[in-house]
Amino acid sequence: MGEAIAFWILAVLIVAAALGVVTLRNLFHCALCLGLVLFGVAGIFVLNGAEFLAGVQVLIYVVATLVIILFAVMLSENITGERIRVVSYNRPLGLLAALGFLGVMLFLAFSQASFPAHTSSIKDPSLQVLTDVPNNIAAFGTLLLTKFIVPFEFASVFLLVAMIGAIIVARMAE
Amino acid sequence: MTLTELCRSVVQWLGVPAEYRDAATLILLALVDAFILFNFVMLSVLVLIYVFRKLIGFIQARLGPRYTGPRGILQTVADALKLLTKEDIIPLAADKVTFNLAPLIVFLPALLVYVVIPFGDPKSGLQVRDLNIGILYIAAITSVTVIGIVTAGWASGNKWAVLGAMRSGAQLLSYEVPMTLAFLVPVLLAGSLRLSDIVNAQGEWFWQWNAFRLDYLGLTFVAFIVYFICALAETNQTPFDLPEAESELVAGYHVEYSGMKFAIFFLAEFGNTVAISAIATHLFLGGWKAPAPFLPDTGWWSLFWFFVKVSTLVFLIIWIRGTYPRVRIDQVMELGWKFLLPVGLLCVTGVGLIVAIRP
Repeated sequence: MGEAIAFWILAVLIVAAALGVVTLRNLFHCALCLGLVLFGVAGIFVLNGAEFLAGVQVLIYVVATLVIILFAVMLSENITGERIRVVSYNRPLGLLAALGFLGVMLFLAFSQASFPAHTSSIKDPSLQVLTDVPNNIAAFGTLLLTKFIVPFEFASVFLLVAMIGAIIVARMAE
Repeated sequence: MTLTELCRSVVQWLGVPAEYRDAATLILLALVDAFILFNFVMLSVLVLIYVFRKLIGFIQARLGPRYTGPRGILQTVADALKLLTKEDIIPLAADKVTFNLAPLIVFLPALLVYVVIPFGDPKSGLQVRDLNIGILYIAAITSVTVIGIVTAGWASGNKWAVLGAMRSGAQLLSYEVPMTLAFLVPVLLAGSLRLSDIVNAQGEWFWQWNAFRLDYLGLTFVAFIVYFICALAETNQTPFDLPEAESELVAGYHVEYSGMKFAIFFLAEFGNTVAISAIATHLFLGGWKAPAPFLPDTGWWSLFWFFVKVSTLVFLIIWIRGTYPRVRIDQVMELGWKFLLPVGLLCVTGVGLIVAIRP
């Protein structure tokens, strides 16, 4: 029961904050709402027994990504002295994209697992170790460095390339 | 009787129906824990500020607070009351909602980080929650502070505040990287992210603690130093107090804050000072263990040893604060990226290799 209460609190929080992200007029407020959404998602991870993901979610999304966004807003508004205009010209298109994304996610969720969801409904046998509570961090790490080593390494190389690219683009002006 | 049993009997005495009894116990326990932690932070900051002013006074060859109470011991209390009763000023150019929100965003992580920190042997119930992601939780929660600081700088509508917030953001994000690398060294040695496992993996003699052990070529000591420097930078302590540099930015990100909101920023800063000392104690200095196996370190003794170590580190931080000048912003960035990051990587790789090779 406690889990259900926590879920509903988090769900309402996430949806309300997400609405704030897309409707608020002040870009800085939008960014802070985004932080709240991401924090709520971390809470959902905890409820599902994925503490490691929750920690990483806070560390990377809530802090690192959000601070970059806040920096961008702060630098453009407080240095140029000009307010950023928040307008949305393409609402119908955006709605379409959002609904399409929701459809894809729901389709994937229903085709991969049976509902009501339970750990035994994970079909891939190699992922069964993750349901081995209470400590799934070791299993997570092992999977990351064995079965998923290629996507893991690809992601790190990809990020490195993006970082070097960003430095080169920034240096080009000099 | 443990706190859990106490809460259970209170719930029973209140006549909560049997099916809700467990949930009610959990909620009551959480509230009691929160109350204790909050008061611990408040009290430790109260004591810390007095000790801080006395010590800084001693270092600078003056007397420090003297007149309020015997030896000025009530000076902090008087200051706190003064701040509480001050007028709450919100500048015209400020963004009201975020201006009021920012001190809370800064203070919450300073309080939440204590949830996983053991104040002694967790077997004696001196820890709120022994999370299996302990150290990751600490890294994640403490880094939330930067959002509050950036928000405070932006919401103040003041260029010094913005500059302070920018410096702080750059500094905090940069030092996050080597700090996490330093975290990895004790994690590698213990094979667990749980704080109690990390402490238990360290030996009983003080030369078997992570900071002093020599069987990893002294790399663990280097990691301790890297962590300590990063922790100073993360909590805006001298020599890394650029975000609030009084002489150039007036007070940096909290220049527009007064009264209780200013006090909350101050509270968070001193709370974080104790927190980083506690984390360093657990990761590198053997946590609640006595320096030799023949000394008692069970039960309340573990609390004693924990506080001895934390106090030593806090003293060291105050000493540094009283002794060293502030570094420049480009020096901060250079130290972080060009020195601490490679050294941290070297530590992790070296210790990882030795752990892998050793049977």
